[in-house]
Amino acid sequence: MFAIPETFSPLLSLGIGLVNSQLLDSSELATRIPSYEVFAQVYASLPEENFYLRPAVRFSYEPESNVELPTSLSLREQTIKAAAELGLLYNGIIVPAVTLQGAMLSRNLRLYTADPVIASSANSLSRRETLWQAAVTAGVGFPFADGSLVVEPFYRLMQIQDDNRQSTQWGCDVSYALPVFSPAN
Amino acid sequence: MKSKNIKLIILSMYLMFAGCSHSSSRAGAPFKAEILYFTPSSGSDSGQWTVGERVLKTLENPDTLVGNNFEILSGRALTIDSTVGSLITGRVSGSEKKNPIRYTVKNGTIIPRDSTTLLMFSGFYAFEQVFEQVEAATGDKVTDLKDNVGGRYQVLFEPTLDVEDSGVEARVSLKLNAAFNPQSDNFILFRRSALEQIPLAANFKVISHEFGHALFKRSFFNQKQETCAKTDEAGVEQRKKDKFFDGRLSVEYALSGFNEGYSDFVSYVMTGEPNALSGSFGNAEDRIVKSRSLSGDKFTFAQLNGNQICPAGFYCIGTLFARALYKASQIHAKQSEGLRTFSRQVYAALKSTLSFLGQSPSLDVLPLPSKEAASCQMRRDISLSYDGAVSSAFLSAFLRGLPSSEEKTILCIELSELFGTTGFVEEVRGVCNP
Repeated sequence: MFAIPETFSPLLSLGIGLVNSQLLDSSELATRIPSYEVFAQVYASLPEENFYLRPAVRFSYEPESNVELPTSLSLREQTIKAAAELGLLYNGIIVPAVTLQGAMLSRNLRLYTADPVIASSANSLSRRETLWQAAVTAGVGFPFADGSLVVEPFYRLMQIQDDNRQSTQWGCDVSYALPVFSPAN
Repeated sequence: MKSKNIKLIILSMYLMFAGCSHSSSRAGAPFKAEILYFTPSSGSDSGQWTVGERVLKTLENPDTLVGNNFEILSGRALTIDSTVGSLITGRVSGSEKKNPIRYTVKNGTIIPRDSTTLLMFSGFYAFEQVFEQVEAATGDKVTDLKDNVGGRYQVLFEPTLDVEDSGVEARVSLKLNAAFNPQSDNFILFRRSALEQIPLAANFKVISHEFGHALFKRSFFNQKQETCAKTDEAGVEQRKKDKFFDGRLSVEYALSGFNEGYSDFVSYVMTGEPNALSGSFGNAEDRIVKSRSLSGDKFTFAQLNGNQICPAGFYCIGTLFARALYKASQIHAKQSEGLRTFSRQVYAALKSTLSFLGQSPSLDVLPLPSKEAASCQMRRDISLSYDGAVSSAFLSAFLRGLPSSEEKTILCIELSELFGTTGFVEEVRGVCNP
């Protein structure tokens, strides 16, 4: 029994992911930062039996974090990410996968002030910055519905350019295989 | 071997990406940064909190936040031995660690890239503001103060507390406080909190208050850190007969109050603001914040029994002292040379207070140590008669060191009114006579 339907090659699947980052602050205490992802991926079989390449594109949104900050002054961060991935997986009863990811992050920094603090109009603290990120992800897919639906919990090690606060993520992808790409159709 | 390969792949991808990113120009000394700063009040204008550009005149290295007079350190752990108000004694641990400073440079100005960095640079500027005023407020040179602490003050930014109890180790953090550690002469800025309005770590009023503790140690305690060491029953009995056993003064309820009160006065002299806590917390009507105001609703020493009038424990004794100093200083305008001259006289008087405490009439009214003091325990509630006697001894010794002046006359009237015959007994009021 194999997880990925053998008739689907190459096979496109679409999915969503719920991700948690661990943000370490100056006290080295961790705050959980959630983010939400959508992705599209293709399974391409390799000559080696049961091995597949899985290129993917992934977009994620990290809302303003719940890091505890004073009420009259904070620099709030919101990030969107576009990533390209290439995974190698083994198609068995379960689907273990290792994936390399390169991503571009667009982070919106917003200076928030409230009474009694006023911000000079010339301040440059509110800005958008572009960052690069590299990551490696290890996950295990659990197939359902004859392999059309895959639930894949994962753990990700990452390095964001000039930002060591977040270096790990964990989460779960849920993807659904689109039959329209099956040669059988 | 596999993990090494993975790391190599990640590194090469990172280098590829990093090569695509634009590099910002470097900032050079004197460094400018966009920060939160407080403009002290002057004349009838009240102070103002602003986010904008400021020059950090004494900053030597923005990547480590090392300055001429102090440095800001993060990632440290504290083991606390005791806490008395915002005085904390304990040991600092934690290895040298690069500060988590993230900034970019735009037109030569440092632009913080996260809240932590914004707070750290803002805190640096607040300490700079304090050091700029130390000599004017005390008469002591900053270099002399630095010599006392081994060259440079250390400011611990958001340290964690290592707690070990019953074999269980935990790492926790304190919020809603800034503190001075008289044991190691460093300052502690605890973790930011959503309960704060103006972050304490960047609050010039709060930081100048904490620096007041360093000045109280240097003046009243002659820079010697008194620690009260626990002893057995026989030791306690022995101490109860010795008015000046080692460490007594550091655990006396009333003296802790005078320490806090002097620090509030220092904050006023440096910032022109009569309430060191206003703006720190959202609820301006909070009873504790209101009771700390040097110009707030009047209360007296005799009313401190119970916490109906003033809910802040020994701080309330300090507020009475600070209010009297504030009232005497009102013959001068805010931020004026006259106010600074008076501040220097107060500081000089504190330097001779301990010596006069050992002489009549202060010595006569200073009570023998209570059992709590002899056991190194800080009482939670006031004892009007006992603390009133300690307070009378302190005030008379302090006033003896103050030169005759219009301010001293007003101060004596105010102290007599606020402390009454319980906290400033008639027998010692002769020190007010010219």
